[in-house]
Amino acid sequence: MAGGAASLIPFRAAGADEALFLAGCRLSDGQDAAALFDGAGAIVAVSPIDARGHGGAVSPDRRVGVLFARRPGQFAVVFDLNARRRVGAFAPPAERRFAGHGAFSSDGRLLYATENDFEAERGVVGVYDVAAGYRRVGEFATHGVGPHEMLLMRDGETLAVANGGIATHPDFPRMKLNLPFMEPSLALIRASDGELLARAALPERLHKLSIRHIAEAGGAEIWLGMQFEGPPDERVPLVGRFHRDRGIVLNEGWGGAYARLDQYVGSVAASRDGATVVTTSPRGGMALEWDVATRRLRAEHRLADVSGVAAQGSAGFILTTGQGLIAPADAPVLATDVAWDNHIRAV
Amino acid sequence: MRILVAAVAVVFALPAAAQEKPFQPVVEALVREVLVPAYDAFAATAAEQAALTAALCEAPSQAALDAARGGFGALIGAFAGIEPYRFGPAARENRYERLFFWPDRRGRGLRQVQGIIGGEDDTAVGVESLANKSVAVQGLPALEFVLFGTGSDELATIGGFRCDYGATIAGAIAAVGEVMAAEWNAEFAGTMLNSGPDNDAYRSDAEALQDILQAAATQMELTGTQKLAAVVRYSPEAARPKRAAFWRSGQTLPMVSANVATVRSILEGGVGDLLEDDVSLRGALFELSQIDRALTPLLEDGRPFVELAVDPDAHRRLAFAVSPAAAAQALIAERIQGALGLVAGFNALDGD
Repeated sequence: MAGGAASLIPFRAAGADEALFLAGCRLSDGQDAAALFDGAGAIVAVSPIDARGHGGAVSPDRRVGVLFARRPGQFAVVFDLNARRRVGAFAPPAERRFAGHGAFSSDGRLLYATENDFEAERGVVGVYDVAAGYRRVGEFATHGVGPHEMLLMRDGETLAVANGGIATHPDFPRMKLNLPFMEPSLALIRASDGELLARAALPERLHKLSIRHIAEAGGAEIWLGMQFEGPPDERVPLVGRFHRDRGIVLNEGWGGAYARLDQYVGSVAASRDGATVVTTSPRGGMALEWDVATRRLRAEHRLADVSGVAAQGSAGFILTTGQGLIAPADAPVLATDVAWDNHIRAV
Repeated sequence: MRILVAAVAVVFALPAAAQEKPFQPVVEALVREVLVPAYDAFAATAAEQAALTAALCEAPSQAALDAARGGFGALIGAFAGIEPYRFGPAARENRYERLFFWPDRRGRGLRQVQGIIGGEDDTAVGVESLANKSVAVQGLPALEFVLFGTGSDELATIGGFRCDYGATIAGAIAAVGEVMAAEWNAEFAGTMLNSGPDNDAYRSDAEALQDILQAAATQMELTGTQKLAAVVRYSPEAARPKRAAFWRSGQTLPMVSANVATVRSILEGGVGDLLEDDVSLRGALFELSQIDRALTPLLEDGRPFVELAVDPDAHRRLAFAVSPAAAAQALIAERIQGALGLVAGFNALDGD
């Protein structure tokens, strides 16, 4: 357990905040699990799963939550968020692996999952019919290699996909097979038919800057959290924004802050009021707070192994760490005895 | 507005163990006595190989071809000495992949190398021109195909395009070896030895030592899972010897053996001085010796790897070597690094 935990104030009673969050974690006995916790950080449900969890998706009516396995993922688990219990699980086809993230359609009838077509080395979005027990009903291209996070934009019609650019194959677990040939991109895809609406890549000198995590904030802008596969001492921007009409604009000029991130952004989230974006770096043990209106870095917060971040309340965020801390927006930091996985999904 | 007000109050640094240990002397010993000499040796061996290959092209003969092929074995051995280190000069300009683009799951390299030879693609001759081509056609696997692949016996009698391409590859490998050694000596050794808040690569000596130990652990994982387990699989019938690295030149197992030797040189480079209890270190060294025990008779066997991998007795030995490689990896990554407070965070894994 992290040092200093003894000085933390004990958690508040469950129910003090109506908010609910879905995340993967590893329990103190080493068992991987999916967990629900409330806005004060109190764990209200835990369900064992076969391997590490990763990103979650919540249905528009907030009744159903899905947690995807960490890539290369072979399952996703389904939760009834009212009953706060697990109600099912489903798997990708044998020739696909989940990439760890997904999103529901605006009517809640379909679930979209980023997947790796590993034989062809291309990304796809798997389409699953919720009412039919998550039967896979189709797929379409992500127009890139190694897709990771995907979100449904606020227009309810457009999927934004981060194509990380890194090829992997289940025969070589987690090995990066194409670093010299990486071409990361951000793609906007029409959810109804898979039509590519826009696609932006990085300049050639930054072709090893893997676009992995995204959040929508302010004027249909997608904020990008990136990971650099080049030398550790080469200073590159690790945060940027994409807009359909403006392409990708990197947040330049914050080299001092980027130098503390160990070339690695693990998660991105926007506040509900759209005024703030937080990017976390578990390797650097840093959370950066960005002002959306000015695109300027507002603050840096040091927190060891921080990765999970989600909006809480109208302007704030809740953070989790691999060392067990839950830091709500306006409640005391809570030390739990579980290791929190990379992402939090607000219900 | 203080958005993350609660988090601000919590300030954590590295675990106490990582702050107290005197890592610097161990990093210094490893860099000066293990890493830099390995880069110097690779540069020298690669220069020799370039000379041998050029000599073959100038005056083709069976003796010259044998010398070039023999030199290739030495080159693989020297490469195994630097193979674990994907940081520093090796990470710049795709140098690591220029030397060793592997595993090449889609056969990018082989297809293109065959295409270059078959089509006598002149742009693959001349080091500068070759550097602009795919990394998969300018490294050790490409040179192996030129010297050992189908049609290579003709090199003993005809120089020609195939030989000129091979000499170019050998020259390109030597150039990469030279620049890496030069950068290590001139600059990167100093970077590793002078950690601090202004050092973009290493903020602490702990980070520098972590890079080296993690490289050793990752090498054992790669050697065990990709070079051995993925090749021998679950039975002699199921074995896929042509998935192995350098099966054409008979360097598959010598390279595994050299990987073991490199990891041993890291573990014996002073880490023990930092450990209160060296049981995990001795355990890791024992596992390395088990790999050697399994492979030694095969190294002396003389049959090509494609025959060895499907022979029941040899297969049993190859399959046996997988377990100690995994055990050594776990001991280094978890027990040794754990005892030193150098374990990566739960969420610090690649690409998530």
